[in-house]
Amino acid sequence: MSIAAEPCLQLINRAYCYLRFSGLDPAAACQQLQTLTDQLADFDPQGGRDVASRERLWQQVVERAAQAGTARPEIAPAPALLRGHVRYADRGG
Amino acid sequence: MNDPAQVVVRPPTQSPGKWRWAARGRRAVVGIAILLQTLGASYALLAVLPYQGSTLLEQAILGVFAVLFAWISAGFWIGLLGFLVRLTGGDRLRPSTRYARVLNDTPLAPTAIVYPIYHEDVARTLAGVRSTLLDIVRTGRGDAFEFFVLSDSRDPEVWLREREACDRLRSDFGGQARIHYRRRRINLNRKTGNIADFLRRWGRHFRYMVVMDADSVMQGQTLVQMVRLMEVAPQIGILQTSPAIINAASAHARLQQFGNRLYGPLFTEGLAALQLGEAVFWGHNAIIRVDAFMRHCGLRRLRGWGFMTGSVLSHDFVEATYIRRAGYEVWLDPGLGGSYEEAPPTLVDELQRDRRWAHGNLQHLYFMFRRGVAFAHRLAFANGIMAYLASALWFTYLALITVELARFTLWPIEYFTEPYSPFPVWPQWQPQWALRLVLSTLFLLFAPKLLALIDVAMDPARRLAMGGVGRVALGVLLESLTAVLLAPIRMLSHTRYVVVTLFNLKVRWAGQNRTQEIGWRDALLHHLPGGLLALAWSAFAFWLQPMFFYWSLPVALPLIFAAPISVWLSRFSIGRRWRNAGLLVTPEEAAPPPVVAGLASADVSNAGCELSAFENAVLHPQKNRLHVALAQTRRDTPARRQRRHELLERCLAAGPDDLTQSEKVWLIEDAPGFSELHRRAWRCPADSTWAPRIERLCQGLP
Repeated sequence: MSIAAEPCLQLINRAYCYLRFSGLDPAAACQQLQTLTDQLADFDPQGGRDVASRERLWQQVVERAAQAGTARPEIAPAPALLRGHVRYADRGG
Repeated sequence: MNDPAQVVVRPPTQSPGKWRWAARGRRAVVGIAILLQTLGASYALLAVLPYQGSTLLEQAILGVFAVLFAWISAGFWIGLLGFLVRLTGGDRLRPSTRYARVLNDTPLAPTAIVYPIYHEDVARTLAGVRSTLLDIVRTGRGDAFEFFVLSDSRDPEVWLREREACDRLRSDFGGQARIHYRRRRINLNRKTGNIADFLRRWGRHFRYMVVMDADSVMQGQTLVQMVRLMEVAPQIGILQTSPAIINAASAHARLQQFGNRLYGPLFTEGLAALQLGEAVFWGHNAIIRVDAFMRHCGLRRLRGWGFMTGSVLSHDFVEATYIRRAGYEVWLDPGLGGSYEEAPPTLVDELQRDRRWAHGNLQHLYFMFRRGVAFAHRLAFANGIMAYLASALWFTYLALITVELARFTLWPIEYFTEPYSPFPVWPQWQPQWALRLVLSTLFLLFAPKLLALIDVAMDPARRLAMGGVGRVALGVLLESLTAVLLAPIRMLSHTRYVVVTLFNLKVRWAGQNRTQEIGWRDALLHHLPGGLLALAWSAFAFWLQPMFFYWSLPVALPLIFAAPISVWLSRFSIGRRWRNAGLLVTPEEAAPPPVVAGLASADVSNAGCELSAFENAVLHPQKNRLHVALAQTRRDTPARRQRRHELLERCLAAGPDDLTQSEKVWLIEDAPGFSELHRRAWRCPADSTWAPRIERLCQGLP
């Protein structure tokens, strides 16, 4: 078993953190990460030393996070504007 | 208007004018009592003064004394009236009693609950929103209410948290609640401008609006009752509740809270019984008829001179005046419970708030003599002005007395004070009269406190909730002692505010501190000038006449020791000790209603609090998406692209501290830029300024 390179470890840590803050629970985040690191191993047999492969992995992390239902904020619509006037007092006010 | 929210409901079943006769009668009786008492006291003062009021100086003393005594006397009679009204089971004319029988069948109308905020404690404000909302949901009538948090905050560190907390609250409640957050980019005309902005945009959706303060909390049942009251009484424009102070932790706040819960009911009942349908609006914890408010309560910038220019600082009284002038009634209803607010934790915070209020109340001179203003509202304006002017008058009184004594001691005796008069005036001191006068003034000041004690003793539920008569009596003693200590300190500060206002110096508009103790440095900075002045005055009094020195001590000593008093009273540990000893306990502490208990259990904190709000908004994926989604849509011009590139590079290379506040705001409100910042910050190398921030964020993972 080869020792993972430092940038790759950092990437994995950040990816886990990113997925968790995107709303995934620990188990789901780990599962996603497992899949992604397997892919990384396929892309880059050198353990993530290639910058392009790390960038690709990160892109996938962001996509997975976005796919998680809670990651997308549901912006509540503001009530429809119903313009009115605030009138000033007409007597010496 | 053809909006469903503005349909006029059926007219009231009882004659709305019935209260007017009662108001005239009550005001006449109290007015005569104040007048007679003031005349008697003024006559007694004449006997005390060495020249019996025959010199100009003594006439000035008499004039100032008469105004001050009338002011104290008014307080006494209002307290006594309140005591009598409570003794007879409450005022039958107030809306909650008059319309009690028809309320349950009354349907609700669309009501907005608005929180205009400016740099407030976000967690506390949103806890209040959550607790009130939860209590409304408990009534099963949540469909009638919609919440609006209207922010005027300028600092992104504050408004980013506000926006996130509102979003979290909204997602927690799901479809059960409608909560909206809006931040004005230009905070024109302060709080009034904020409310007016809301009304112009969405006011026509609602028949009523409940205005809340940042620390306001109201029971759902009370809100439902208020909407129903407004429905059955279409002549009411504003219905004001009497908020009880809650959640006091520091010694100072606990004293205010105890006073509010013990004496408050008497004074509020007395005031309401005098004002009836011409009460005032206190700016929050009140329901307002939106259509009437929009038609009649727009506030122009003042076009007077000096301090009477610019925006209206204390808008609430003026709005009550305008709505009354338009024919609507304004009621203060002590029968409406379940309305709460908080007190400033320290004396310095209270005085800083008073600085703004003093300016605002003195501005009311502009409105006091306008056409169409109800007599009761002219008196309310005068009352508000006197709340601060009385201090300046007290200061003047002390100065005049000092001059009088100096003149009497140092100058030769003047036997002929009137020109061409053949009759000499023999100067004489009547210390026994002076003592009687002091005792009668003390009686007026402290009798309402005694009445409040009797009032609570006669109410078994309240008596038990406050720890029994013995503990309440001890509390009264403690509160009275500190009130005596604080009176000269407040007097000097208020005097300064009046002078500063009259010379039109700048008012700082800031959010209030609601959670901090005060340090020695701040206390000394605030109180040292007053202490030195008091020391000089006392030394002069001692040199002049030792007896006068002893008379000066009750005023001078609290001023000399103002800083330690202020620091001591701000201590939360002392407040806790009193609480543990069962002192100064209020009914809401003994048995907190769900809406108050809900404040403590509300969790509106944000994950990743070790980072600043801006750093969080950049890094946290969900928060970043939220802010990007709410950013303004603008045309992507070359100039914007250039600025975006420059700010992004600086922020990524040197960190967010390298950006100014306005640059941060620019980036947050630029969707492509803020999204790009998020993406690149996460991909930064280990030696980047953002790497440790990401680590800190990750450490906050549960």
